[in-house]
Amino acid sequence: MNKNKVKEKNKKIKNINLEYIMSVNVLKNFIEVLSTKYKTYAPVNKEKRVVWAQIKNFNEISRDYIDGIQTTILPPKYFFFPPNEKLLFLNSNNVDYKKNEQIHEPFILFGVHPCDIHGLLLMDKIFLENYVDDFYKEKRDNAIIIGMDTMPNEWNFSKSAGTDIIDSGFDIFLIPLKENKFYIKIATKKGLSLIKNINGLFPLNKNDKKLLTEFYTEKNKRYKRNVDMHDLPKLLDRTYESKIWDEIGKQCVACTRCSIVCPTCYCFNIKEDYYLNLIEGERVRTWDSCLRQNFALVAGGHNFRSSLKARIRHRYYHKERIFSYIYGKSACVGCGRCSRDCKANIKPDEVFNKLRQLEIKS
Amino acid sequence: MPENKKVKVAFFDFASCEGCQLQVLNLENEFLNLLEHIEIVNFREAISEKSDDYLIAFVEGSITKPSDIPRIKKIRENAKILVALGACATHGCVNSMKNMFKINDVKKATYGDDDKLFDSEEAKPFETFEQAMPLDAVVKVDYYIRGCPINNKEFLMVVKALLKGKMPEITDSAVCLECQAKGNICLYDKGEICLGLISRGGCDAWCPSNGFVCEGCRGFIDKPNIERMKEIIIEKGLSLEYAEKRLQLFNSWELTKNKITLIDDKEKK
Repeated sequence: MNKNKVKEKNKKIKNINLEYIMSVNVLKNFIEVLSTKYKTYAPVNKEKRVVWAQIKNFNEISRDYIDGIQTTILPPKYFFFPPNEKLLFLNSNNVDYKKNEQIHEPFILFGVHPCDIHGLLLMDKIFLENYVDDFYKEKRDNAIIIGMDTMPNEWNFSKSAGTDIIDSGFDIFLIPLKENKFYIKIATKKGLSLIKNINGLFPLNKNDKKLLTEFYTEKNKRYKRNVDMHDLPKLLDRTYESKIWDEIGKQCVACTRCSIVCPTCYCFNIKEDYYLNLIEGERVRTWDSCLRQNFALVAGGHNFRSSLKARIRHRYYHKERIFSYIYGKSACVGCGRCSRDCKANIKPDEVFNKLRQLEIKS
Repeated sequence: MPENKKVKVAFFDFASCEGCQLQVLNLENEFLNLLEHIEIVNFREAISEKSDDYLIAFVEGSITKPSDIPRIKKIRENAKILVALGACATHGCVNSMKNMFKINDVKKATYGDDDKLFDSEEAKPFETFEQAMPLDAVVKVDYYIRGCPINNKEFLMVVKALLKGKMPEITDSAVCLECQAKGNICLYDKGEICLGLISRGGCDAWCPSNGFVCEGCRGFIDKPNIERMKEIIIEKGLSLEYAEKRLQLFNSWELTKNKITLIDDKEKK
């Protein structure tokens, strides 16, 4: 068998598609079993917000999250592309470096929303496609993704972004249904091995299928934010000089929060810090933001985007237009985190709608 | 830089609490290790020797009186690299709160009826400017180590970078970047006024991470959008008066220089 055929065969094995129904009690048992074997991270309540944290049982998971009232402060990118990461150890005497070998073990991300899984798949394009980033890959390879669909929260517009449904990028996928039931879909071998010793999985009966349809009907009804994202790159091509950008430039305070909570913002800074012997040191990667004043400052002192208007416009153009032209899709997955956290009230769905309306008017 | 020749470094202070120099000494063991690379020729808080021969000058404090001017100019002349150390030196800090008032009122508030003594001949050396100024209002500053007080690890980073002949990387992003990356709950969500939105970070969001609002001790980010900040405070139903007081604590120099106020005179009762 040649390599391609092996690959194809593996792909076939990977593409499992098993659907079951289980009761919430079975899920509780399932999570308890999982969390003894693997570090399991899930959305949990922290004061009035939701954050990712390690859990031991189902009851720790945020009810708000399952009910679709709110999502986590930080997106799952946090686990694969941490805000501060030591990459290399340097030695300036022999101009040598050593990779910072991290210890990795499989871990579970539980309850990842479809739009966030889309976000991870986009991050994979950045970090795994043309140039493979070892640090990202090692963590990504060790992650077991258990996705979960929920009702959309008040900021989410993933239906408009086409990221409300997901068919890959997870090992297991759950949907909370009425009658205390959960729909479970197993998509990979890894996922299959996880449910091996779980009793209480039943094939879907007529009633279950009805509950599933009801879930989707309800979900579609609950979207409060809708935006026409059709042909967005071309719309942006035409509206570069729109007065909307002046308005948003005045509205933004450059706090950089939107890019930090964005599931697909990946800009980073590289810093080198020497130890006190001034010979050895380390290279660190930290999250950066295109909204920072000197983000586009180059040697010689020229700043390509010194005005706030230019910076926030660039953020939108990179997300929607540049990304679309390179990767064939928009980098905005409609999770709504930036709308939620923008103190200056800038909401991408509203920006897109305004751009389109203004164009129609003129 | 020739080997086995240590770089000569000097520390000076103007109007300040000298806490930033203390922060340097607080490095303790690391400070001793640093002495393998540098020779300190001036440091009133640590040694009694004095010299005008130095390459790098770290200067703490604000310029507040006429006699400060020739002194800082002399330091600038002597030093190849001048680093402003701490908020008083970088942007006026609490010293600049006096900039919002008439100087006679300040004297009165501080010394009561004894304020008249300022008019006497003996008090001449103590004459003060109407404004407290950061160093760069008078001389060129090469690098800024911000904060009240400074983070001594950042001081170390700057010294090491200078010794390696590199440009120290001092952050220009808002406090929110580091705060949000830590996954903190925004203090605005708790109904508080946090200046992190428009204040310079690099502090690892120390205050908001420990539940206390940012007061902007590292100064504003470049071109802060204070106009919008004001609207945000109004939109959230928070107190402009309180916000203005917060802003004035560390940033009165920039506020008075650029005539920035949150509350117009018309709005004041």
